[in-house]
Amino acid sequence: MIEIMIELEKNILIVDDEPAILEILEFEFDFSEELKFKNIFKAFSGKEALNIIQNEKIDFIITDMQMPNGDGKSIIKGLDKMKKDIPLVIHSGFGYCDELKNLKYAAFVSKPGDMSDFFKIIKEKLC
Amino acid sequence: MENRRLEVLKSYEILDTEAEKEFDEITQLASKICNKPISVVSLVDKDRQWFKSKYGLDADETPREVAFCDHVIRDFKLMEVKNAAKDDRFKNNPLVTGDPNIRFYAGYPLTTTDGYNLGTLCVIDDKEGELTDLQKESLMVLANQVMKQMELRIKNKKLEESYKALEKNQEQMIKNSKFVTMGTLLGGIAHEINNPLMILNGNAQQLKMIINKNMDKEVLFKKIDNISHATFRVKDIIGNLVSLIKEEKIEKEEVELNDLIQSVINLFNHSFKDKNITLEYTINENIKWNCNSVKVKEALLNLVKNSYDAIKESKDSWIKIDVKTSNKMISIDVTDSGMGLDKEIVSEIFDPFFTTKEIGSGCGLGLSISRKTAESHNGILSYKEKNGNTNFNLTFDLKEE
Repeated sequence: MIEIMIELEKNILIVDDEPAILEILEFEFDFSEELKFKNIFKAFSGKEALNIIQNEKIDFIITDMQMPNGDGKSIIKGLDKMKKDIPLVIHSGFGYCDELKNLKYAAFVSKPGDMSDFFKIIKEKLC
Repeated sequence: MENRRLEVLKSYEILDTEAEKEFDEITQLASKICNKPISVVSLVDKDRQWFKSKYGLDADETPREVAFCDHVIRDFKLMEVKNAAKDDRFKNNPLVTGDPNIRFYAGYPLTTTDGYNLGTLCVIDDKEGELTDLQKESLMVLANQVMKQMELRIKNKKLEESYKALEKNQEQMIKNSKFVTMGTLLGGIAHEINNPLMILNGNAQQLKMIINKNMDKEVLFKKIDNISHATFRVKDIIGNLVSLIKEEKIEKEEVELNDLIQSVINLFNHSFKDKNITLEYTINENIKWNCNSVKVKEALLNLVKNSYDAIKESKDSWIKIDVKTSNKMISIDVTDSGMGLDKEIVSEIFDPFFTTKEIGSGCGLGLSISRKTAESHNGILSYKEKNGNTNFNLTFDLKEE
């Protein structure tokens, strides 16, 4: 079976306070043979992420939960305030908890997650 | 009335117990003072009289229907039988017609404060006789002493029981508090381990791609570095965990003070980062120290945890750990950006179970455990306000114990 590379005219934002994790995700999206984003944006905190969301056209977000300077929750709330409906995947090492119950997000991927989890949701939401 | 009396007797938990010196000394004294060969402390049970103490007599009990003492407890005064063989009540009693051939009997009731006669203190002889006033008075005083001993005995027993229950309770509380500490740390630890796992897995997967695509060596090396760095992170975390849950019975061992403190700080790294708390740690000179490192870590952990809980929701929070060592002592200061404690509570903070935290977030044992650890290491744990901030100090005396 020949996989056809999907080239998306879209931008992704990856948020994590851990540089090594940002690096992994960026590498995966850079060299993926399944799908390609036009631009990959990175942020180390919720605050930084919201700044990017405000100034750039972002189509998909993957974010860590616990971070200094604005956690994942602050991003979801910020999106709500800006009335932006961007699919968001929570990527967290804490496991699912009640805290997430009332938040609006597309999916929850627990760390350490598998790249195929991300690709599946991206295809579902963006293709 | 009789039923109630039997209940009261039972409540003293004395029937069929071993002989006790306190009672035996009284019967011995009664026998000597009254100059009669036999003296017993008799307790009148439902169908028998049972002897808690007996001097000059072998039997443990007799049926109630032959008991002289059963007659005594119907009244509140001394009963004296000068010659039982000539007394209509007793002349056919097997204890009179046969062994031990009772002739003389004098018994004083053992009366509880609420007026129940439980038995007697009595003296017995196989010859007829009579007591002088002084002997009668002495027997009364000794009977009162028997009753007091019985009261004391049951009170001691109850006290011991509640003390044991309390001890067990406290043990449980200490265990629980450990779980609370563990619980708060565990969340952080899960996160701390999952991140390096993700880094390990991610980088390992990407190695394949890098090799397949013949990418730059530089990129390859970077990935390998990431992998080994992540394994060290996990190793550190596990090391901290192991030292935290090691059994408390561990004897003293020689540790590097700096390592000990660093391992406590490492447990909080994530929480501090999360709440934007600045941690400053200084040590003038690292030394080797012979201590129970698990206990000392726990003591320090409690102090840092208290600081953390107190300031985590404030702005510009900081915690300073300042360690000064010499060949004579170790002084560890834990100071935080809090404004010091309320003056009213300062005297209570080291009391077990004193807490200002919300229900469920602390049971109030941290400081008392820490202080106990300090004391068991020739040290003291003290609190003061330092330049308007909250400061706890652990000072350990290093001179030979």
